[in-house]
Amino acid sequence: MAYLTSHFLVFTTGTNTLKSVPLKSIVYEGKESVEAYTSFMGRNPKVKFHVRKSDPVAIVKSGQHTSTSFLDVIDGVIVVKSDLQKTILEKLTQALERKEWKNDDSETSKKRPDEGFKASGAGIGGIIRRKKEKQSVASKQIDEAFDGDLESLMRNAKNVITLATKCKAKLSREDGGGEVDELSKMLEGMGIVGGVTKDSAGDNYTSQLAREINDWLIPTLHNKSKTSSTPIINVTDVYVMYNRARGVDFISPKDLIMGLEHAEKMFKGFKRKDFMGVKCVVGKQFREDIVAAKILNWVEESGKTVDFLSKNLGVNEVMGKCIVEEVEGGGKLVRDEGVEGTKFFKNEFDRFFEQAGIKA
Amino acid sequence: MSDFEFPEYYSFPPFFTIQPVSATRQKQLALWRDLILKYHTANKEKTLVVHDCTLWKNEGIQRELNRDNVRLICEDFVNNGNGEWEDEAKTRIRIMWKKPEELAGDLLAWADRSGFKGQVCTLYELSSGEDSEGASFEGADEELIRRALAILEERGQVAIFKGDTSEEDGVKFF
Repeated sequence: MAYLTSHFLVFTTGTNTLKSVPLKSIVYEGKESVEAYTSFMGRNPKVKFHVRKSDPVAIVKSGQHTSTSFLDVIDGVIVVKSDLQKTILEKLTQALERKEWKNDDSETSKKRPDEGFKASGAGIGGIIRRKKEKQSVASKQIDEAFDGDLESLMRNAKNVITLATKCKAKLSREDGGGEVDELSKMLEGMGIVGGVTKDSAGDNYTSQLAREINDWLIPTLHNKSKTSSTPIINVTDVYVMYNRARGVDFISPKDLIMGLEHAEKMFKGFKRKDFMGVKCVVGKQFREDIVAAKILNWVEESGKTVDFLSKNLGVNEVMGKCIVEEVEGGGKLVRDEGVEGTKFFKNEFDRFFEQAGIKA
Repeated sequence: MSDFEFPEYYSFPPFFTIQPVSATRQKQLALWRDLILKYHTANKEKTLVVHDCTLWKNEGIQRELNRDNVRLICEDFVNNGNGEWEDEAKTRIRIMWKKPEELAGDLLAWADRSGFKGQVCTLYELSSGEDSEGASFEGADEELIRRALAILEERGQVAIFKGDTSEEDGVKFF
């Protein structure tokens, strides 16, 4: 049985004793330093590595021949299960690559040398001062750790961002096809990396922000319409969703409204609409007559509530009420205020009026 | 109570909710006026008691007009000339199944057709006489006929003479 930690490869031998090989003693100059191979006919899958003899720690002789003893290493071989061979190779390689034992040194070197007792170190003031110093050391360490990680992250993210921007541009121009749908879903999930701020954009803040809002809003509306729901989102929801996508550096409601105004003018990818006082954005895919037709279809059989209609249209209740009331205003729906709440029916009064033969 | 056949719209739930959209509401109110007229005419009822009219509630669909809407419909009915308030408190409406102007026209046309022009006939004859059989005003409310005649008198198309009894009041068509 063998165990792999960040610092050691630990073995239990047949006699139940623990032996370990420190990872820093394993020769690692790249992926080729660790090998996976098998004996004849795929039997006895093994993983092989080389251990430096000269390190002053306990080294296990695997029981194999030491034909490489003219070098300063011996072979370390572990026999593995064939289906795990690949995984073991990967994990060992990873642990060797990470070299986590190196952090131990840097940590210990940061210990402050003992300066001896000082009067300024005494009392509560001294305690507070020491605590502050500890905190600043800790936060410095965190910053350094983050910088290191962030740098590599940003490097990799840059490629993805370039790709994503190209996709977004393609998306804004075209409208249709399964590819576009896949793209939209992916883009919406990705959120926004590096949101536009006044600092980053300076004088171009307005136009850059409008562009960013547009690039985010178009796929979002597209996705909404594809899930057979109405591509209408009210501005309050846009505010929440957009800021959530940004993750940090939220923009103010005022800036969002300004951004939407400019985006609508600049790119004409969506329309701002006022549904009886409720401001919202409407995707190009939206057609009022289609929505009205959908509603009329549902009420054909029996009266329906705003709740039912909103759910089926895929909009929230406030939006749903507005849409229904607009269709009602057009004379296509009538309302029934019963005990169970308000239901909407197809307007049959015209037909009844004619049937009754009423003289004006 | 005759077997009045309620129209289809009486079972339409929205009929009992006054519609907020003006154009729709106009049609709805017209249907209510039509219903009230047809119902009272079929049952030969001359008066509608506002707080006691069976039309306001349809048990079958569990819908009824609320107080305010009853008032709204009654006011609309009267304003449209289909009825008159019998009292100041506005609790009863005299149904005018025909508007006085319409009736006036009918009376004139009848007088022309039946050769009563230039002749005098009594009020009774007008409402229930042989000659008035089949006429639109047959069996009409006396009050209504008087109203119509008053209009004609104003226009100078008839003259009214007082008789011993009100039924014997005479009318001369010019």
